Amino acid sequence: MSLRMFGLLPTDADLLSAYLDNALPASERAALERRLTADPNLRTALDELQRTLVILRAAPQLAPPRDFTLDPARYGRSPATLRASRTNARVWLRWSAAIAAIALIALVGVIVRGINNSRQSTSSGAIAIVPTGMLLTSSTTPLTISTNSLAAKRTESPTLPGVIPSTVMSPTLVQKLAASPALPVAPAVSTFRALPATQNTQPNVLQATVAPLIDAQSTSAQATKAPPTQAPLAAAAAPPDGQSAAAQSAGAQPFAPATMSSAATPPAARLYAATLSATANTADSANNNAVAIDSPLQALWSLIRRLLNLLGSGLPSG
Amino acid sequence: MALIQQARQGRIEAFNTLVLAHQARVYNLAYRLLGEPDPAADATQETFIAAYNNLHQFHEGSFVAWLMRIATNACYDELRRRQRRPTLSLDQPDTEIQWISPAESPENAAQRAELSRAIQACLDALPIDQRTAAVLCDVQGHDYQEIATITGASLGTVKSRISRARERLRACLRSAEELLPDAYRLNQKKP
Repeated sequence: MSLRMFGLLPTDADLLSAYLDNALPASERAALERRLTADPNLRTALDELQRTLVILRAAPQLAPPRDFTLDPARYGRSPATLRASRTNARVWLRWSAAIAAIALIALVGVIVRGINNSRQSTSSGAIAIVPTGMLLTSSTTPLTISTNSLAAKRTESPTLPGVIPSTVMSPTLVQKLAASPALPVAPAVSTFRALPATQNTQPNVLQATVAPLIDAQSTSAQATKAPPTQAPLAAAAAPPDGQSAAAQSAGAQPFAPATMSSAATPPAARLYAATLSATANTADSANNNAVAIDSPLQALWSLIRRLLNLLGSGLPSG
Repeated sequence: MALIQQARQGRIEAFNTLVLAHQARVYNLAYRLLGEPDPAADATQETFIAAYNNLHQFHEGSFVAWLMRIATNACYDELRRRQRRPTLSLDQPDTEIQWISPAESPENAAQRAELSRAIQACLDALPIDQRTAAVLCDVQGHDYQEIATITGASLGTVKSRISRARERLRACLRSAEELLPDAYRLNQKKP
């Protein structure tokens, strides 16, 4: 039986509901009680509504199936501490994201710099890619520095005895040598291994650098009747007892452009090579910092290039 | 308030004392709003965890009303989840319902269960806002102002929802009169 069956309005339902909750103002309550006395339908509606409330208020209360207490081991910390730990976690997350972004930007910068260096070296020549102060020996190792194609084309002619690898020269000395008409053109060497700076003082480094040079020139040296200075120079370049090459070569004759230009023979080039290597051993200590800084970058660039080559990328070779 | 203050300072034992004092009320509200014992238990647990984690937000007023508001919101979340992902009944037996009552005869226990099922069926047929108002007012005994605080509705809205809900419940219970125990049939003369 709905309100319509009682002939009531929705507002009457609100009035009856509030009346049962004792929520009507005194004036409205008195007015409603007068209507209840006069209107049997309104009275019946009130009775049914009141019994409905009796039923609802008699609704059985359920016993909780278990206790809902919190585990002290898990919730033992105060809510303030829990909030603080969550806040700290958020702060750490933000800082980690910022550091990761900076690292990514730095990595991109290193890659871009490597690409630019590679392009510059392609246009300027093989010497430009040699790091200052880095001692190189001829070898094929995993970490290699390839010279550019222009230098390779320039040295397609057979390497002359006594030729000094251009990669062991400093740019200024190479320019001086190039200005000298007596010396052959510096060849480009296919591959070199970059040695750690700490190995520069070991005697076998100088031996490995100069000795093959002298061995390969033995026949031509005999043919050109090498001057008496060749013997002590060879002894200094390849010490038999393994003593420090730097110490032995310290007494070698300093480089003299005037002498070089007048000699114009392979022994003069050998003199230059020995002197240059000895000078490199002593002077590299001032440039070791540059090696320490440049080598990781070049190593990183070389690694990236290898990966990109594996992926078939067309980056310029440097 | 002393227990609340101690709980704020990290004494979980003080908060658990509050849990034991109010868990029956919270669980019954959740059961009447959700209609099933297991989801009601989950909502009750979520309520107390949320209350503990947000205890700093309670400053004054009725702690029970604040707790009921959290419980109501937990139940609304569960109902919204049901709407998004309706689940098929797998005929898994729910937790057996037990009543808070002194020892009673089997006949009275059967009548109590019958009455509870009839009321729940009629409550389930109500819109959720009217169901909440009716349960808070007529089953749990909160006044209008407390219900307005719990539900966040105005006082006039609360009165209107209660009135509409009662009218629907009256009609529902009258149609299901044969399911009600004799003492609760609406066509009986007023005792």
